[in-house]
Parts: sequence; C-alpha cells; structure tokens
Amino acid sequence: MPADDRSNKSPLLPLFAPIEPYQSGHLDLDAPHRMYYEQSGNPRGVPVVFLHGGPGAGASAVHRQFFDPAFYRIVVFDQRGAGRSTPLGCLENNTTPALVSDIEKLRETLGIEKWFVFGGSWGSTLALAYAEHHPQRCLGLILRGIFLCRKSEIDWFLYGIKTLFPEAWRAFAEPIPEAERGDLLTAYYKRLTDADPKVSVPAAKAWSTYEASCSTLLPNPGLVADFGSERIAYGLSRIEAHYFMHDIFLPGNFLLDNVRRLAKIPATIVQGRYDIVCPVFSADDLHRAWPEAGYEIVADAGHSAFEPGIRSRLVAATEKFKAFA
Amino acid sequence: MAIADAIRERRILRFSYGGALRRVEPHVYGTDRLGQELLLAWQLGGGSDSGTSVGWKTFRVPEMVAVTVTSDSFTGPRPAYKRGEHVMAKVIAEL
Repeated sequence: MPADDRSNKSPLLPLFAPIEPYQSGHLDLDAPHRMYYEQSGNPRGVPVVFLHGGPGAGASAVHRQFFDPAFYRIVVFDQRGAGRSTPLGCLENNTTPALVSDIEKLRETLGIEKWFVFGGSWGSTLALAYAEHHPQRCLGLILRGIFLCRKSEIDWFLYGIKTLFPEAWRAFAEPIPEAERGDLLTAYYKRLTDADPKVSVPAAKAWSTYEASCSTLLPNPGLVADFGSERIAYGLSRIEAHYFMHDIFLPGNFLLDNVRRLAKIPATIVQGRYDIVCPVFSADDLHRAWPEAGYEIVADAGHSAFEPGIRSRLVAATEKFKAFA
Repeated sequence: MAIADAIRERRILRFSYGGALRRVEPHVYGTDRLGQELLLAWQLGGGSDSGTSVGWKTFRVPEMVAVTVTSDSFTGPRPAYKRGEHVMAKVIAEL
C-alpha cells in the first residue's frame, strides 16, 4: 500500500533557497540543435540531473531548489527544442531516443560517472526511458506525476479532462472547427506546425493554457500566465503534440515492459491523488509493475511539482536519497 | 537551421519576439562571449520594444518564436553595414 499523507502531521518542507549556477554552457547536438545546460550547488557534490516536463516545457531557476546545494552537484538542462535550447520548438530529429542520447552526451561532457535522476510528468517518462536504457548510470530515481504516454493517457488529456474542467476544455476545443474536434490532436498538430505565426502562436497558447489550467488542485493564475507566455507555449505545445502524434517514438508499452531493469535502483514515486493531467492510474500501473520503488500518494495535491504536499515530498526524497550516494 | 539558411539565401525572416511579429533582413548570426546566440538584423516592420519599428536590432535567438524563412528575398547588406563590425565572439553565418 502506498503511504497516504492524511495521517502525516509533520510540517511541510520548503524548497531550498534560490541559487545561481556556478557554470553554464551549450552543447552542440546534431544540427540544428544546440542544448543549454547549467550546474549549480556543490561542484564536488553528488550529481543529480533534473529532467523537465512537457516534453518541451523547459527548465527554470526554481528547479534547482529541490536539492540541497551543499550536498548535490545540480545539473539542469533544457531538452532539445525547449527553453533556452535552440531552435525553440524544433521538431527535426526530436525523439525520445535522441533525448536519451543527449542526456548521455551531457553526462560524458561533464565527466560524471553516475547520477541521481529527478523528473516529473514528462520528466518521469524520460527518466524511465533513460534509466531503462542506462541503468548502470543511475544512483537513484525520484519521479513525480507519472506519465507513461499511452493512448489512454493521451485520450484522457485531450477529452477526459472535460469531465472535471469543462470550461478549460471548451477554451481548448472551441478554436477548432466542430468538424475537426473528433481528432483534436491532429487538428492542433496541423495548426502548431503551420509556418504562419498568426496560426501557430494562438494555437500554442490555447494548448498550453489548457494544460496549466488543469495542473493544480486550486487555481493558480501565475502558472497559467507563465504557460500562456509565447515562448513557453510554443515550445511546449509543439513538442508535446509531436511526441503524442508519434507514440513518443518508443515501441508500445516499452516503459512498463522494461521496468524490471530498474528493480535494483533506489526509487520513489510521488503522485498527487487529484492529478488531472497525469491521473493516478499510471502511477498505480507503474508501482504494481515495480513494487520495489517507494510510492507516496499526496492526498491533497494535483499535478504540479509546486503543489505544497508534492514539493514537500520531493524535498524529503532528495534528503533521504543522500544515503544512497 | 532557418536563420543561417536565410542569411545564405538572402531571404526575409519572419518571427514573433516580445509578443510582436517582426520581419527582418538577417545580417549576422553568432554567439557572444558568453555563448548566447544573437541575430543582428535590419527590421523592416512589426513590433518594437524600443519604439522604433524600422532599423538595426539585435535579437536573442532563444527568445525568437515561430521563426520562418519567407519566400521574399532581399538584395544584400544595408549600406550602413560593415562586415565584421558586430558584438559576436563567434560567427555562425554572415552576409
């Protein structure tokens, strides 16, 4: 049984204080991709790599704050096409195997032998894909808001959410002519990849705003505004739609079929009970296939890493994982 | 790469930047001393942060959204342009 925090009366843990990177740079990947990365915390500390969500959301400064900077060497990067990596929203050679090899290239460039892997939402998907390909490189896995990118999950995202967020869903679906709403993914993909910014940018904002509106248990206008900004929206919506259209470029059910490769790696799963973007059934499927992993359901949280209960459990996990270094 | 292609083929670039659509004649694409990608271009029209919608602009490439190479070409460097006189530490493409 997963721990359920209704019985947990301990105070919520805050994030660590904001910090600046001690080093940042770019890696040239296969053209035209160029990848931004940064290191913060303790240069001689235990390495941890942060995998952002989306795909395509990009990382930000606050993501450094899940880790004790005195203990960890914190590596944050923007996946190809996302955030500060260029070209923004580029779909060329943008696949899960390419992202996995980018992580390896970054690890080798930084001279790191093994590291902890921390990821939520799409970051959990990518963490699983990476760890299943390179289990020997992983000291441990901390995963949040589990997304396995199966057809049932994509259908839920495109249509199922309407049950709980009908207003947000209408704002998402209504810009698409009724005749095309039976296949919202294709309809959006067509617009998001249109060469005219007057078509692609409004579609990007609608997609990204929809996702953000459903990401928290209580409304969070700041998060919605962030996701609705042109840069975040463009990277996120295009890359998400591209990965969803192509079943994340992995054989069907690959992530669950190969999860036994992770049996010996320390791992924990943190999942919001009311995660509407990545509903708990996927975390449940993952944990049943991988009972060795710790599993905590946060009783009063949605999807976002910054939901108070989720943030607290993630910080507790990075503290606990110091023992596995 | 759209920006380098546009410089090589002397095509007008279209993109959104700071929430406004822009049309520019790209001149130099490169990186500064910190490795940040920059584009020096002559803006033909569109939005502006500085209040001037036509003229020389330096754009931060990671902030350029929906970059498209248009089918419209331009004849070459603007008269005031002097090759090599820019802030780039490394040039990726130049007129």
